[in-house]
Amino acid sequence: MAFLTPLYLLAGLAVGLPIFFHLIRQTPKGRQVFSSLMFLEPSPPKVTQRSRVEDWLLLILRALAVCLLALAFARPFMRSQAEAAFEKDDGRRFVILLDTSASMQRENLWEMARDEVDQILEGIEPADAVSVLIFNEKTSSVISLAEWSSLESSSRESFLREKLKELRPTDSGTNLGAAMISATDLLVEQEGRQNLESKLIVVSDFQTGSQWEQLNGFPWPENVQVELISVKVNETTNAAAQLIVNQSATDNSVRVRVSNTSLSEQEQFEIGWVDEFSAEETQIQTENAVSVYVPPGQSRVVHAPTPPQERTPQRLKLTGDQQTFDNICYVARRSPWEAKVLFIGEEAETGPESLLFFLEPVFPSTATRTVEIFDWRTSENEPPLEGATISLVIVGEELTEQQLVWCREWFKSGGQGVFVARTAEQASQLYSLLEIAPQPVREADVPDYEMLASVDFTHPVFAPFDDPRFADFSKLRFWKHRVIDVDAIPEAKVLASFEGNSPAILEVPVGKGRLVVFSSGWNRSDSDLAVWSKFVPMMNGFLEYLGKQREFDPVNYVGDELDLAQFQFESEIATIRMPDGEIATGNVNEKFHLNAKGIYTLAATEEALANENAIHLAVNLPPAESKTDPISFDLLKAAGVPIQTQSIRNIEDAQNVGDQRQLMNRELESQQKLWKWILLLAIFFLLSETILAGLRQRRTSRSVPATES
Amino acid sequence: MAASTTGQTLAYPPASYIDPQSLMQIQSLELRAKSVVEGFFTGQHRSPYHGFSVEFTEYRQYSPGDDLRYLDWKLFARSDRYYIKRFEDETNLRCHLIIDNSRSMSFGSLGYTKEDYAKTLAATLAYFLTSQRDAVGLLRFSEHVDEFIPARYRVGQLRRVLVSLEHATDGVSSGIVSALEEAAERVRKRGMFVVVSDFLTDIEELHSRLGYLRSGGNEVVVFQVLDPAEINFEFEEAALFYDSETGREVYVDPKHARENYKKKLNEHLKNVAAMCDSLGIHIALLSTDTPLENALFDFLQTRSKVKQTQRR
Repeated sequence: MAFLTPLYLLAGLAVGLPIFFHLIRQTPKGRQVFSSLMFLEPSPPKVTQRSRVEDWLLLILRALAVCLLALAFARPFMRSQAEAAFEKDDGRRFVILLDTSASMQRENLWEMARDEVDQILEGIEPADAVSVLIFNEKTSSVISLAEWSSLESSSRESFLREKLKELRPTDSGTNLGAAMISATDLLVEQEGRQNLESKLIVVSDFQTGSQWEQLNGFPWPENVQVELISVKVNETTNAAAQLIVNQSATDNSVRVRVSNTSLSEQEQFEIGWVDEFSAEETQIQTENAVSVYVPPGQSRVVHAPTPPQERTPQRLKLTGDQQTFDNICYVARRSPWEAKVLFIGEEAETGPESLLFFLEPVFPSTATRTVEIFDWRTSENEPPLEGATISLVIVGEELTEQQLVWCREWFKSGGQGVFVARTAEQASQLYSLLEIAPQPVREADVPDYEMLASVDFTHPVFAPFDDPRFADFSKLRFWKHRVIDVDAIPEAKVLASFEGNSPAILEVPVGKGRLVVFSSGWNRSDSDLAVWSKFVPMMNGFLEYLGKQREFDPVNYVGDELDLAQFQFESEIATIRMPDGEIATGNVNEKFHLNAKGIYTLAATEEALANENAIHLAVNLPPAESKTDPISFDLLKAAGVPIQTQSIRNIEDAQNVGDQRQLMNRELESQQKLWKWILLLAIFFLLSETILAGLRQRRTSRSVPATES
Repeated sequence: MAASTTGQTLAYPPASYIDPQSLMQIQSLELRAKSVVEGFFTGQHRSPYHGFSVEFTEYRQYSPGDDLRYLDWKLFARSDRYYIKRFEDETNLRCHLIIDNSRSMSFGSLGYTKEDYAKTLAATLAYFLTSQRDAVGLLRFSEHVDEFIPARYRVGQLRRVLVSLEHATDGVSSGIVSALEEAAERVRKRGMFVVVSDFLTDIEELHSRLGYLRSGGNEVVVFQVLDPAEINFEFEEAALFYDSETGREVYVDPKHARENYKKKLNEHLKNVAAMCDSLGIHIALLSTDTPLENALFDFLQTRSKVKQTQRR
C-alpha cells in the first residue's frame, strides 16, 4: 500500500487526544442544584488519580475513527503486482512514427522532426522499449522493439541517431491512417502485457492530404495512448500543378490542374516548360509561360503552354508559391502507335456484305494510335507495304498462291493475323496456310440462327467481358458459319464455340506468329457480329493483342505499383531506366514499385531503351500530397484517437520523472478510490460511538440522581 | 384607627422567638403568620397623605381656587390674611408585598426553601397589616408578574393574599426588573412596597427600577432572603452545579471555588446595600435561619423611623 499524501498520516497523532480525554475525564458524583452560578467559576479538570482509562470500547471507537480519518486523507492506494513489476523491470513502450512523405521536404521540417525525435529519445529510460517507424504511403521499420531490447542500453540512442541521419524525406504521399493503425498493432502485439504503458508518438506535419480518415472507427486498445507532435512551416503558400490525362486524338496540348492551399498568401502563379538546356536546372522558358490566378483553397484547370517540338521528356514548372517540393510536373508524351493493318482479299461484295466495309470504323485512330488499313488485292503481286511495318494481317478471301506463300512466311517470321472463313472452300485453305494435312470443311447446317455457347473469358481479349454486366453474348446471332475440325489443327485453342460445339473463334500458333480464325464473317449475311455492341471492343482487343500494344494509364504517381505485364514485352525481364539514370530490371509478372518522381523509361532490353519504341512514363507526386494545410487535432479526437496532452519530451530530469510517477500514482489512486471506503468506515465508527455514548449517558443520568437538597 | 406608638423605642426581639425550622413545620400559612404576629397591635403607622382629620399640621397661604371651606376665618380676622388650614390625614397604610417567586428562590439547604421563607414573611406582614386595618396587596412574580392583588382593606382580602401565596408555583427566571416596573405603573396611589427577593441579579437595572418606586413617593422596604448555604458556601464534594434559572451546568470544586465565591457574593451584597442606601430604602438581609419575628421587628422599626422623619 502506498499513499498519495503521506503527510496527512501525521494527523493520526491526534489519536492521543481521545486517550488523554479518557484519562482526564472526571466523573462528578452528582449534580448540585444551586440558585445562581453568577458568582461561581468552573474549576479546571484534573487528571483522575486513578490513572485508568475508562470505557475502553468508546476509546477504541474514537481512536479508530481518528486513525481512519487520517488514513483517508492520506489517500492510500494499492500497487498491484503487475504494476510493481512494470515499475521495476519492463518500463514503458513507445513507437515513434516519423513522417517521410514528400511534404516533409518543405523548409526545414525534416530537421525539426529529427530534433523532436532526439528530444523524445532524451526522455527514454533504460527500462523503456522504443521502436521507430517511418511512414509515407507505406510504413517501414527503422528499429523494432525487439532490436531495441537486444541492443546495449548505452548504444541504443547513438545507433538510432545514426540511422536517423541516413533518412531523408521521400517523394511519396502520406498514409497516416494506415501507419498509425499498423504502429498500434505493433504496440499491442505482445500478449499478456496489457498493463504496460504503451504510447504511440507521431511526428509529422499532419497535412490535410495525409489519408487520416481511415482512423475513423478504429477500435483503439485501452492501454495505448497517442501523442501527436506537429512540425510547422512558416511559409504557408503552396500551389501545385497536376497533369490531367489528355484523351483527345487531335489536340496535343497538355492540361494541368493548378490547386492552391487554403492558407495561401499568394494567388498569382506562372506555369512554363523547364528549359532543359539552361544552365540553371529548373529555369522555365519564360517567353511562353502561362500565368494563372488561383484564390486560396481553389483550383483551376489551364492549358500548359505549347510544348517544344523536341521529343525529350518534359517538365512543367509552377512558380510563384513558397513551397517548391511539388512544383515540377513531369509530362511524358508518348508517340502514338502506328498500326498498319493489311487486308487480303478482293471482295465481290460491297457495303455491309463486305468485311472491309466495317474495318475502318472498327479501328479508329486515337490519341495513342493511328490506324491505317491497306488492301492487298489479288491482282497485285506484292503487298502494298513492307512486312516489318505491318501490325496485323486479315485474310478475308481466298488467297492466291503468291499471297499464300507470303502469308506463310509472314507467320513463320512472327507475324500476327486473322483468318476469316467466308466459305467452306476458302476455309479449307486454312490447312494449307498452316501447312497441315487438309481436312474437309463444310458449311454448317443452321436452321434459323446459331448462338455462341461458350466463351473463354480467360483469354486477354475476352477477359474485359468477364463481368456479369458485359458477359451476355446471347444477342449475338450467326446465320451461317463453317465447321472446322479443331482436332486436326495442332495446338489450336478454341476461344468461342457455337451451340453445336463447333468452334466459332480459334487461336492457332503458326511459327513464331499467331493466327486467329473466325469460322463466320462479320458481314451482315453471315452474322450480327458487326452490329453487336461488343464487336468494336472485341476487334480492338484483337488488334492490340495481336499487334502487341496495350493501352496503359498515362499518369502514374510515386508509390504506385506498376504492372509490367501490361507492356507485353517479349522477354520475361523488363529493363527500366529510373529518373536518376539508374538501370533496373524487373520480372514482367511482378509489380514494379515507383518510388521517385520523374520519367521512367521501359523496354525489353537495355539497348532498346534508346529506341523510339521504348515506353516513357511520367511519375508525379500524388495530388493529395500537395494539400499541405495542417489538419485540426480536434478532427482526430473526434475520430476517436486517444490523444494525450502530457508529452514525453517534458520528462527530462529527475524532477519530471518524479512528477510523472506522482501523476501515475494519482491516476491509480483515483481509479481505486480507497479513501471513500475508509471514510465510510470512519463515519460508521463515529455513528457507533455516538449511539454508544448516548446510551452510556442515559444510563449514568439514571443511576446518579441529582443531589437536590 | 391605628393606635399611636410614636416615640416608643422597641427593644431587639428576645431570643425566645420561634425557630424558623419549627415554624415551617406548620402547614397553614395563615397559622404561621398568626403565630408570628401575635402580640403586635394595630394602628402603629401614620399615613403619608395629608387628609382632613382632627390633627392640624400646617397653614398655607390661600391662592385663588382653593376651597373656601378650609379658610381659617379666625386667623383672617386676626391678621387680615387668607390662610388655608391643613390637617394630618391619618388614613390606613396601603402596602403592596412584592414577592419573588423565581426558580432561584426554590433553593434551600435547611429543609425549606427561600421561597417558603419569603412566603411566610409575606403572610406574616399581610396578617400583621390586616390586623392593623391597613390595606394589603400582593404582587407575585417570576420571569414576569404572575399575580397582582391590589391593596385593599376588606373582608376576605387577607384570605386572597394567603391563598395566592400558598398556591404559587415555581417560575423560571427572575424578572424582578420588569416586576418592579409594572408595580410602579399599576399602583398609582402612594403607599408602601415591601420587596422580598434574593436579589441575585444585575444591580444597575435594579437600581433604576427601585428608583422608579421611590420617585413615586412610595416607601420601600427590601428584604433580601438568602440561604445560609449561599452565604457560606459550605459544600464539600466537587459536583456539577446546576443553575436552576438558566439550566447551565458548571463543574465546580467547592474547595477551590469557595473563597472566590464568598468574595464575589459579599461584594454583591455590599453593592445592593449601598444602592438601597442611596435610594433611601431600608434593606434587611435575612438568612433563612433567622426567626421571622426579627423581620417583623425590622419592619416595625423601619416604620417608626419613617414616622419620626415625617413628623416635624
